[in-house]
Amino acid sequence: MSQELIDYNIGYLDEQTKRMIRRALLKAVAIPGFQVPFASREVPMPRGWGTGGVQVTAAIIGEDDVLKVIDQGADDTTNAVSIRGFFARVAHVGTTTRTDEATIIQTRHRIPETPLSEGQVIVYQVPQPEPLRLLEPRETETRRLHALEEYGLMYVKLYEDIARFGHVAKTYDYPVLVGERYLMAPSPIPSFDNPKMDGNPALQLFGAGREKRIYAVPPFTRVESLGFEDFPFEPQRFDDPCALCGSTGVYLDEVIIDDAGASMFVCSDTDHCERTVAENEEVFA
Amino acid sequence: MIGQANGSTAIPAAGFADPTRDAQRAFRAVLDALSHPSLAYHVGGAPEAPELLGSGLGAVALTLLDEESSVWLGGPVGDDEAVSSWLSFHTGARRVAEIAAADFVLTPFSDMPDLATLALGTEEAPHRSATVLVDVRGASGPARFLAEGPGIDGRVEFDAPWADGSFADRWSENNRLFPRGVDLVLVDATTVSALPRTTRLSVIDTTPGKA
Amino acid sequence: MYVAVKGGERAIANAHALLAKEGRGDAELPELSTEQVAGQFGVLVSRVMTEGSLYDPELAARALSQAQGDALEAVTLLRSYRTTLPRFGYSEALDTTGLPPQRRISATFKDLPGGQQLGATFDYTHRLFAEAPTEGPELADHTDGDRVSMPRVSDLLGANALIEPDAHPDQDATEPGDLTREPTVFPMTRAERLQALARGDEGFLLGLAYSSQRGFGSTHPFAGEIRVGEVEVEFDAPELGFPVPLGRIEITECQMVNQFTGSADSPAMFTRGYGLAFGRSERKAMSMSIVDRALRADEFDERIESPVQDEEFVISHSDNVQATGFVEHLKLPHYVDFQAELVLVRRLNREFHERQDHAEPVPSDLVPTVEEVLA
Repeated sequence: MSQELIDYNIGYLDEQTKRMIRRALLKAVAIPGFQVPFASREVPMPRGWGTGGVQVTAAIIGEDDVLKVIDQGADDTTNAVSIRGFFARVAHVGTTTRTDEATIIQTRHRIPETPLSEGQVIVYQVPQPEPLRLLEPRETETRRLHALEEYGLMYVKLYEDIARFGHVAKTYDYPVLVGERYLMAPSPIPSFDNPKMDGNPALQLFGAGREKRIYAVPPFTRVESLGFEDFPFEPQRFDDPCALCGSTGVYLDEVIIDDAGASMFVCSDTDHCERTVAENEEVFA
Repeated sequence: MIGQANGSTAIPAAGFADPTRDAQRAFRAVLDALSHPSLAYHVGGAPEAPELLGSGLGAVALTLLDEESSVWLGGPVGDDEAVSSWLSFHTGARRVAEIAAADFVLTPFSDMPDLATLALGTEEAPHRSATVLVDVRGASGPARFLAEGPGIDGRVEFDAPWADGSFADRWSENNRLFPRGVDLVLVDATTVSALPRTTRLSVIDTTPGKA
Repeated sequence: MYVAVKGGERAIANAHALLAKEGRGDAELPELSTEQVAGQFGVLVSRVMTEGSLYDPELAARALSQAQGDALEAVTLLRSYRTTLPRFGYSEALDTTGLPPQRRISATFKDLPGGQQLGATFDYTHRLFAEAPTEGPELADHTDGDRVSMPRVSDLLGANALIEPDAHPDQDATEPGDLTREPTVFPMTRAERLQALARGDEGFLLGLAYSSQRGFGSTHPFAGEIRVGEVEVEFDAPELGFPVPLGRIEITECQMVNQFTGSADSPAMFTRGYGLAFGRSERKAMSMSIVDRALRADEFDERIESPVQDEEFVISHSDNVQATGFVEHLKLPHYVDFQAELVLVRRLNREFHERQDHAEPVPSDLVPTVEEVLA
């Protein structure tokens, strides 16, 4: 049997699907932090591998866009490479690894170190959009809690942490309150990145494909990480600079460098690290 | 389906020349507008759209409406055969008679219905509310607002030539419903701007001699 | 000096080349054709079509070949293609009473109008490895002549009002939602639930059905009728004003008949569970019908106490494309999150030892376990 070549639409998704996602996106922007249900489609990567982010990106991207994709802060991790290649193929877009050159940044688990600017869009891949899910497994119940703005469950959980450990034992996907109304899961970014969400000039879009939810934080919107007056939110910090570029105040990955378990700390944001290294070389050249 | 042309077999005028690319560009303009209330963005048109609808609003309609959405047409566009058949042919959107059942309300500003009569969503599902696509071509009123809310860095002043004297009060009624409420997409011939339900407005007095 | 790991792109290309090589097997042997897969792995192809929600045996066979026999991978392939297809409209409801069955059995009546017809089944085969046949199997002469009427068993019971009606009168008024096109939210309608179950994982539904039989949410099922056969799909084009046939598809239908002892509002009668799948998918259709009935617990004022009766639990976890993706996504790098945890665990660990070094003994319940910390 001769196998027919199968043609896909520009941007992969069919136009009906794009319209459905686009309508959901407009509602998401209009109600910051509220999870809009959408009829999530299958896309050519497994569920849980960024299918929500891919659908959001596919619904907004055009040929004028320049796309950057990161996973764990890095442009060259396999899943980032795979998704970037997918859009280069089906949406005919230019791609970049430079944060400042990108019009759309799709990310898994990080916000770039280079500050985002107005006009940029950052698309987060979200595994679990419901911040209350691990405290209350039922959708029917969490929906009601959001309607009532009843977030006591989450405060109790954080309070119990403080009572036990002296501080909150949540280091990523740290819950935030958006626009002083909706409790929102920032996706599993480290709490280090949480402050970057607050008042960010870029449009922040969140896609959860498996869980069929889209939500958004418009530019310049208040995003407050939960805390208490006597125990305010405290993002994680690293004491040491990056061993490659010397940056401080950035998120670091620990890399094991020998059999004895010795390790070094390097930037998780590969674009930031490479450019800082290049700048250093220019200075010392 | 929106009303069929009565006994007429005329083929409606063309929609987008390049549906995939044109819709993407128009959508980004609407998304940008809703994300930056007070700013206007260029919207590539649907140049063949019926005159009563206009090229810009035609493009926005083609971008957002399809057979899975319902629409209520207000003012003269509601009675216009060319608009009906053009929208029906290109989008397949269901036209509804009951305004509260519409996902989209398409109307000139002068005929915009009382916002409280539109679908406002529920506390659990505030997204099940109407988006109002407003034709504001040719508006030249003196209104000027101070706006604040998500999408705005602090506060910003902007001209709203389309607004009438009572709009700010009607809009603050809509604000009060949050998270319920409607969102406005304001389209003139070539640009689109928007007011999401989160934008709070106060009137700036533009009476001559006071400014 | 340490150099950051690079070359994701090359690694992916190499991995794909290796995958293709593994999948090809011994290059000396001829490659399997799609026709061979479609023709000789019909049951597997049926499963991929059912869970892929797309009736196309050739494409399902092609997906299976490309997926090297991984059914879930093939389902994913099929679904990601299906979802790009524009929707022209909705077919008329299938009329399965007119289904001329290739197989039809009922466990509830020894004999019934139309008779029992064993058809192509593994039932009663001895599960012994067969001698390789030298020629194709011989079939006894099959007279297709008289098409006997085969009323559904549920209709026979229905005539005596011993079984609930097929659909409640008010159900017909609204068009069923479409799970693949509209955002659906809990609680679902039965129509939406059935759609989800139809594309649900055969193994998961089998396990749930089995749990129900063993008493975790029992529904006392009888296999009222199982039919396998081809049925016509019709499309009602509004321009034409009458339905036009689009073609025939092979389906498996199962009507489970379940005991119901009655409640304050309704007399004792039999109730139904329904299962439908593409191709020859008997196990799936049976499991689906048991789970369907179990999920109707609230309609019959039954106590909801087992997983199989819990709509959110069943529907949220039955889709294998979602399930396998999320389980397998743990293979993706998580070192940013792990780093965050590492920093925390080190801190908690240090604080623990600092407390120990000081005089005051710490009550043991103040000391977190690793599980608690990672939770």
